[in-house]
Amino acid sequence: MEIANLPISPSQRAKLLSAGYTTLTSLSAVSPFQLARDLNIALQEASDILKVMPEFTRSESLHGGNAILKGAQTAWDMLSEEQMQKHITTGCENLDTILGGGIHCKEVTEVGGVPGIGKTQLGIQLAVNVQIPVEYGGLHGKAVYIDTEGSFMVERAHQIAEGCIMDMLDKFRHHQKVILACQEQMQPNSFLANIFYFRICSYTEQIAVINYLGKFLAEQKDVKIIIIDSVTFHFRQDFDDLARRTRVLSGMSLELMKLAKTYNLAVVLLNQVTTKFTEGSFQLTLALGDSWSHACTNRVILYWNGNDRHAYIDKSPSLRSASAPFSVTSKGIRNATSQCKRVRMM
Amino acid sequence: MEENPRGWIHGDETAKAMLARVLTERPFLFLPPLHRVPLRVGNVVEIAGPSPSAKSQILLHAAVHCILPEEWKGIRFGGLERMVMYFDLDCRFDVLRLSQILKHRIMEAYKSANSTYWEDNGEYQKYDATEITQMCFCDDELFLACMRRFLYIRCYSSFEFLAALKAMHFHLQRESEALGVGLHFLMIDSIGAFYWIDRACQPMPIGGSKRKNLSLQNVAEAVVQEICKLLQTQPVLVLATKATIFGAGTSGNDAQRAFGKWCSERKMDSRTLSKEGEKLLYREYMPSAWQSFVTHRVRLQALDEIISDGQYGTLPTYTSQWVQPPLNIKDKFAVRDDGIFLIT
Amino acid sequence: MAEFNEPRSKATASVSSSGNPTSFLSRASKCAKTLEEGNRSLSDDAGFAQVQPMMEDWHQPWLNGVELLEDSNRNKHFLPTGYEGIDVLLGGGLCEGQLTEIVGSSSSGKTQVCLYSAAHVADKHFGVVMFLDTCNSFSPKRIACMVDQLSSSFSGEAKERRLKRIMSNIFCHSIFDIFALLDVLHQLEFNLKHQVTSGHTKICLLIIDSISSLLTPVLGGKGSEGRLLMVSAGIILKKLANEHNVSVLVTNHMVGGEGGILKPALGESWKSIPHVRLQLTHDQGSNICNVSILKHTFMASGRTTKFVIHG
Repeated sequence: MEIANLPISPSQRAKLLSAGYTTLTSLSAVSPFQLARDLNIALQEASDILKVMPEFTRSESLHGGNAILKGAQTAWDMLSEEQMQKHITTGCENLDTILGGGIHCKEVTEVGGVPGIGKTQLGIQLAVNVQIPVEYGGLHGKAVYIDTEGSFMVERAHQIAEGCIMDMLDKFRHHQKVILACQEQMQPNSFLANIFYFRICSYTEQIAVINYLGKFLAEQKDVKIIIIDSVTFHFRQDFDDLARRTRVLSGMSLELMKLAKTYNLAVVLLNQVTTKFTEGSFQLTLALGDSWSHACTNRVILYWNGNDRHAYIDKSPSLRSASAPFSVTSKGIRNATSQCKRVRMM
Repeated sequence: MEENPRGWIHGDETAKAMLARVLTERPFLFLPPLHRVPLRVGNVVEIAGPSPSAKSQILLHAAVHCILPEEWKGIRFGGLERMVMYFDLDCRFDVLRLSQILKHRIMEAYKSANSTYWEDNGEYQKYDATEITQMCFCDDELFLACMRRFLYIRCYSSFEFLAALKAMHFHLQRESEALGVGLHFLMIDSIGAFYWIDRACQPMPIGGSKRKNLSLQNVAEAVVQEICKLLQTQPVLVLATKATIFGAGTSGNDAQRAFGKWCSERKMDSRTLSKEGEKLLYREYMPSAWQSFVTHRVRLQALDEIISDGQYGTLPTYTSQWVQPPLNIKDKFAVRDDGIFLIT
Repeated sequence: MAEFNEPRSKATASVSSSGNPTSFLSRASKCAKTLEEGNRSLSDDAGFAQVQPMMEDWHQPWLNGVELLEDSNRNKHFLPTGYEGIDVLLGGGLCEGQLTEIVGSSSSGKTQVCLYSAAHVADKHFGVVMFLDTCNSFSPKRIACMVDQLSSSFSGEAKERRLKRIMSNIFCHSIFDIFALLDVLHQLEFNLKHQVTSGHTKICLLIIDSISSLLTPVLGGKGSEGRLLMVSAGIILKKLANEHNVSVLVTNHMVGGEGGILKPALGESWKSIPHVRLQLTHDQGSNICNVSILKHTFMASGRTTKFVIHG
């Protein structure tokens, strides 16, 4: 029954069925007043029901021969759009190389690692790097930082912003015009002013913030990255009903995917690792393992290799599996300073 | 109006004559793997099992047995030469599989007929496989005649199912007149296909109307009523498959699932169910109108073991168990290209 | 024995259906002889003849085995995915008219199979490919890379033109909500039914990656709403496949089951919806994927094979 496919409450559906409305075409021709009378409900409720009808049944004209589906794009158009897309640099060239230029917009990237590997550092670095002015090769966007663990340190952010500005000025020191033009923007305080910070303390607050972000982003059109640190912290304890947890998490991940696509921004989720006992040995896997593993487009795992930090692409539809070393300096995330500077392809 | 009341009181035939007639016109069927209980027209058999457990294969196997002729051009096929009416509610029927089983059965019959002929005559001459193939398929006539006896309809909702049941009678009559044979099987695959939709789409009567609304129970009652009407004018054997919709671990403890017992010592066989698991899996969900209509019940299950058959490679195995009438025996069977064969 | 009861119950049925007591007696005597002859009296009813053509609209057309076979040979082609292993395993490729499901754990190659099938099918002029993307994993760059591999024998301008042609035949739409998916499917069905479509602009392959991420937020819980939506989606997909000769490919992920063993998501009711179910596994660090059949309409389940994902 086609009525079953509309997002209406079960009681409304039951009333529609008793009145004889079973197909979408039967609802397309009725006025709200008539519907209210047939169903014995208020006029407002009737017009709400008619609002959720899919548009194609409401329009009289049939679609032209070219539109297979309204709103679909061909891959060719998307390719040209994608080629013009800028990426958010991480600060480390090797890491940028394996990421295909940096963190992609319109995609959800998950970064996981053991505590202390530098996830929060990477998060703050990205929040700063997204603000690099266009003249310096960046996106000149704003950042939203959602902090669940309380690991965001303002002083560290200031330090990273300073380090970023210093490096940018250094790199472009021969381009005097460019430096003069962006002098105001290239102050650490203005960088901090463009990071919108949310501190949340429970999973309900987390869900509320993510649902609110849609409205927030419609007003703040410059936001180009959302960082959530760390996305699964509040879901690992205190959740009795695990089936409900799965539902809430998958709903949340769909919402984040939608935000990334609709507002053309990057979403970065930082996640913790945990140990899992499979096939007779303990292995490190991301927290919330299987039920959460499909919630991202790309996944990067940070790990220790001896004394060096490495990053590894675990999942990506367009990037190859590769790993690269990086280091965390006082200025932020930079190239690894040790001898092995080559990118190792898997 | 009968003019002769005396003739009305005298019977038309004796009980012995009637028994003889009925046994030849409506024989008992033994369909593997349901061979333990003889089935005849008027029976309603429900075959239940999780997916995949070869339920549709049993229907196809029975259908092929029905549409093949008893004998054709001197070769014995052993079929019933009657029509089959297949209601596809799952919309998963694959005609290629039906034609595959039919072709294999025809070829087998040709092969065995040829070998006996030559042995009888004292000269055993080997035919090679291609010659046999050529022999049977210049006789596409038989294949097409059999396929013509397989009647099929797809239903995408309970409405369509009921409408088809109501209109079936007229259509059957037309087909019987065209083909000259009657109907023997009524197959429904699968009866629980619209359960979730019908359950969630139950209309609420507005303002105390007296109309009979289309609730889950009423739909089942209507279906049963239509089939009963058919059974009275045209007795058929009804085979219905039913998929299980509650998994074995559905209402189990979520806590158990999460902090689950990491059984490293004992590998948990996902197919071997505990008693509780089985009860959950085969939990009855059809309305009582359907439940009381069913006269026989079988349960199928897939096993983890595979057998290797020389020609066909490895095949998965299944078990079948009669629940009504309750028999405590589980029969093992496997599905090959040419149909079902039992494993002793 | 049931036989002796039948004439009596049959006679009462005839009375209730025809409402004519005088014919009751004549029928009762005939019943004992031939039970099938009672049919004739019912169809003589003039009222039924009027209603019957109307009823043809309320259900799908009656078919028989010969017509089904003809339709299958004429309309339901096999669309090769481009991976030889999978094509051989499936007996030719993805079948039009069937719903194929690919199950696998994270990063086991499901999206790669979807993207490569889209590129390959668009290349071989079967028709238009519609990709419904729920996890932003549709990557035009990756498809361009795959087309590059397919066009290794071409060069320069011809290659560029080929790329444009193939990429223009693949449409992508992002969906983040189960109701939006149902809307889109209804719209597709509506368009296919009412359009005069020429051969090369008709959809032949519909890919949904992944349908499980749309259904997991609504499944479970006390109500049956989630399963209603899942079964409705399955029915519309199969209707699109059967009536409009489209091959539908969906992906599903794995969840933890009892004892820590992974099992496909979406539960028991979903298992009886797809025609063909394949499971992919991928060893970390290698290009080789294993695919095995979980369910197929005419192949034995359990058969496995390997294929290589090109870099």
